[in-house]
Amino acid sequence: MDDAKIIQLYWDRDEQAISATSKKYGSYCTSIAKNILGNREDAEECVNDTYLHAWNSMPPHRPSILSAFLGKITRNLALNRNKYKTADKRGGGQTWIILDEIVEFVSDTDSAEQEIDRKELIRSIDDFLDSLPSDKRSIFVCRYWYFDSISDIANRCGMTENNVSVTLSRLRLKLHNYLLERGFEL
Amino acid sequence: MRKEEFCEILGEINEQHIMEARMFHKKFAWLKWGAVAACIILLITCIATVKHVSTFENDEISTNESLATENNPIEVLQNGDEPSDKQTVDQSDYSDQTTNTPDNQIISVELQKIIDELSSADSLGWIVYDGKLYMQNWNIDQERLTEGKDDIKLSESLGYASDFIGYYQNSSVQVDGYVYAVIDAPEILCIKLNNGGTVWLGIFTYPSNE
Repeated sequence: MDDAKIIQLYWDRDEQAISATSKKYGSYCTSIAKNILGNREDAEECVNDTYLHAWNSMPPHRPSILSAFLGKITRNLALNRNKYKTADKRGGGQTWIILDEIVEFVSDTDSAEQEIDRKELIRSIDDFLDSLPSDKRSIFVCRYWYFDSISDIANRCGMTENNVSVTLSRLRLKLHNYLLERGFEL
Repeated sequence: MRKEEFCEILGEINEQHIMEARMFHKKFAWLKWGAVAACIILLITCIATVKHVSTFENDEISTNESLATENNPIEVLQNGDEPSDKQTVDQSDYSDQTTNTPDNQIISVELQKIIDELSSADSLGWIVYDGKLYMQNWNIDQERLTEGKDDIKLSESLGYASDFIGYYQNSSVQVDGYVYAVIDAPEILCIKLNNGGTVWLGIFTYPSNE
């Protein structure tokens, strides 16, 4: 079914919207949740929560890209769920490994003295991503947005795992310097 | 900033980037298989081209050989005559002009020797066969004409193409083709021109065996 029609079903409060969403984007959302949570059961619960959130969000939202909209909900829900589930122990798919990589360009402390303009930071990250070639940008997004494993990215992109790791390492350094140059001391 | 917080901020990036990353996989897969397909197509094209060129060259050779071996009749057309061959598509005027050959570029040494020995000729006519123009020329050297060959009449077959003599090229009028001897008519050359355009008449002669 066309995305516009699915969105219209939400706006019409038609419950077919959920089944249409599940049919079209169920596996997409599940793959994101599973990457973060590490197991299928949690991922499916998370995806069901995604449909509920989507139902509550539309209206008033009318997303321009439905898949990204659903993906963002899934990602946030999965990260929150992961936060509570792994508060006392490590686990949850790629999440901890990826968060450890992110530590390379954030202080990982609460002592940041300045109040960072969140929207400005997001805009700068977007500008940084815009400046990258599409293949490198996609590798970055796959890793830090979708939480894809290195081997997954390597397989999909036809690269070696080592090549992907090196590329990501360079991109992290590049982003770190890019944000520092723009006054973001993270 | 906490890494979890930064991770959440990363979640707010442009939706186009999010979409592109998933499309990139598909695109890359297509590129991968597309590259394989392109290589296969390129390979097939190369093979086909090589075969085509090879076939074309063989056709050229076989055409030349067939003229020499299959005894294709040479039909002489007079001005106004309708060509009898169905494949005849055009005809030119019968020409009486006599011309020297200063601008000829003869590739074949043998043909050059022949041309060097003779200075003038007369075009008897031509036919177009299988998309090629065949010239028939008559040596108008008076001595030879009086040697019993003046009884040849136009519109009659004068003989059959036989041995390939050489390659003819006239750069001044951009005409080139293959020159053949004619069986039992040593005075005549058969010219298979590759160019159906302008024809420089009256330059091709064949010496008698005397």
